[in-house]
Amino acid sequence: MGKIVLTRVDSRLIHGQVMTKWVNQVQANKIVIVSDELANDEFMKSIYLLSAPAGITVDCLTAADAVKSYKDDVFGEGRILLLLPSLQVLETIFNAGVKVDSVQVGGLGGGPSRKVVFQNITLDDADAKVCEDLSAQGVSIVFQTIPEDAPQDVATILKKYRG
Amino acid sequence: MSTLGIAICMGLYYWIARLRFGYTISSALLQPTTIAVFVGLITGQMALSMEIGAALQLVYLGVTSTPGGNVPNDPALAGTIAIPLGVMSGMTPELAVALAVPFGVIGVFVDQLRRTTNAFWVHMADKYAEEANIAGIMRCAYLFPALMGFVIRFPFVFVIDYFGADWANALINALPDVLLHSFEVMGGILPALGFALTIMVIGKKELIPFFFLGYFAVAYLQIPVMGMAIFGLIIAIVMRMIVFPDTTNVSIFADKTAVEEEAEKQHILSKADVTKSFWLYYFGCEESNSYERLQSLVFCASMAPALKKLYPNKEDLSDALKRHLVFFNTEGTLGGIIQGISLAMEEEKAIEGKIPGSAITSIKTGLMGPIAGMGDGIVWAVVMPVIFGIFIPFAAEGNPIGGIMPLILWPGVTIIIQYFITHYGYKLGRESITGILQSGMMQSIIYAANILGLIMMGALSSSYITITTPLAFTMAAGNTIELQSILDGVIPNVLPLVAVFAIYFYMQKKGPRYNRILLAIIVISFICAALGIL
Repeated sequence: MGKIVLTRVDSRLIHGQVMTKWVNQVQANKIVIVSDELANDEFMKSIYLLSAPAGITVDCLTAADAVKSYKDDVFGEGRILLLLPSLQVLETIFNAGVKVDSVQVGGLGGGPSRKVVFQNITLDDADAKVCEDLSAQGVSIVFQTIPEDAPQDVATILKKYRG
Repeated sequence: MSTLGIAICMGLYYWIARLRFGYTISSALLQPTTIAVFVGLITGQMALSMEIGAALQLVYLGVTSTPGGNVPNDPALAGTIAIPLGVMSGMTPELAVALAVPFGVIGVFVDQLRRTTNAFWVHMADKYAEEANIAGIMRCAYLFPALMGFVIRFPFVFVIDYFGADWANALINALPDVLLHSFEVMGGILPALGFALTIMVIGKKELIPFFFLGYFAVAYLQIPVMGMAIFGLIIAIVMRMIVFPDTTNVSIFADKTAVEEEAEKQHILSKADVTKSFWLYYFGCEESNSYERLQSLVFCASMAPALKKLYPNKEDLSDALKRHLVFFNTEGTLGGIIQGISLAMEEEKAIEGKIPGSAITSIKTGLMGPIAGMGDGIVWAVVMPVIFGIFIPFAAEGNPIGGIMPLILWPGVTIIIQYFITHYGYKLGRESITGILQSGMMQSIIYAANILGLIMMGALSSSYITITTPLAFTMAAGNTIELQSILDGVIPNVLPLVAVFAIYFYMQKKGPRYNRILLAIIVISFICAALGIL
């Protein structure tokens, strides 16, 4: 049985903030990425698997496989950093049974209908709704890019989004 | 130079350094020992200026690595204010550090203002891309952020440096001794925060013994920092050979067939075109960085001249420009490989027309994360603090070499890496990245870099954190026993080590909340100084 030590939503998936800050902060030794796109792209997937430093393994799973692997034995062994590219993926796997109790939103890239809410995190209406729905089901959602910053709670961020 | 002249020079310096024009050149200009060389030149007091610069550099050594550009503290604002004011009013280095700390915190907000306003230029560039107006995109990437930067940066430093000199003098004379002493205590402890932060970034608990190796090599054997760098490098290389025995002989160019295949390919871009893109990306890498799309603007601008050559048709050119304005961010030095690959793919698309634009975008967005993870882990978490760290001893003795050498070495090393990796990426296209990763070379380099980094942080902590206790007990027989000499008899220089790991464990448990820890150190310093414990 694995232990999920951090669930992070970050559209850039693996990058500097994750590898030099969070992996060390939560002492994770396994990163599980849930992305259909990545899991089905052999070339890209191999790059993600190979880019991990010594002592850390990376897994790329489709949403369906992730749900199965979670139900089997919580992604196998180790201290797991669960990394999701979007709030939509979070919602999908949550509803399918991956009941995480706390989530960190660490980076969501910009786009035409998206609004900056905190540093390099943007939201759109669909994202805001996911935050609301999951909060209502008791999931604690915070917005935080690096451990040096104070985490922002979901209510503050949604107020900023609507404001 | 007059106070007015100095204030103008410092305001201009802060503006130019904070432009982030020149990826690693500007980051060198932001460091206190480099600022100290400049202050030494304009004030004519090189020795004192360098000593203050060294004290500040120790405090900020750990905040050099800033993945995603989110800085917890601004050493440049702290340095451009505390070093000239310290020199003009003849402060001790410790007192100058106390003066610097609040400005380091304020600087963060100034930078947030910059990155928020930068979003404006990327929106403007969207319109120019629609019209395939390359000159317009260039203005958005390089000129407008610079002009805006002047408004944001210059006045603040100018006003404080101009009016602050008299004020600083008056303050020093008015401060009670106990407060002056507490500032000294604080200046001694603060570097521990920087070192603890660096250990956090370098990470891996299993490698921490290498920190102790560096620490006690200095404490027991008095090995100078430069000597420790040499031994550290040897140890790191040997450890790499032991842990990664297979990778030491692997060459990234081992795949000869791939190289030969590539050599037969048709080319529109010349070597000079690739080099031009490399320089454009190097210089603008962080300048136009915005919260909304980070490096996308400069990436597009750096590709633009090459794209113009590849797509003579205005519509195709506009599409290509828009393609490179989408969200992008990576570590610039190793990120050169992504630029090289993008150029190769755009060229292939222009010649054969088979690659869809979305394939180029998805390679870029797919690679940017893993490359940033490796680049931040090697280049910023280790190479930079080690280069600045090994020259601190020179600065601490008042020697300008302590700032000049890092100013040459740090940009020099990173420019060479980025130049070669950009051309390598262009030459081999997509295959380049698998070539580098599959050999396991990167993993082994990260491992060796981490070991060297930890040994050096240990050596520097031992050399430059000064915490001693004046406590003494008088025994019944009239003998006085000094606590410090007892401690030194058991383990030499133990208090700094306790400080570093107390902060490290706090960070491990509660997160490296920089400003909260800073505040705690200020309070503890004051209490311990007042009670005569430190």
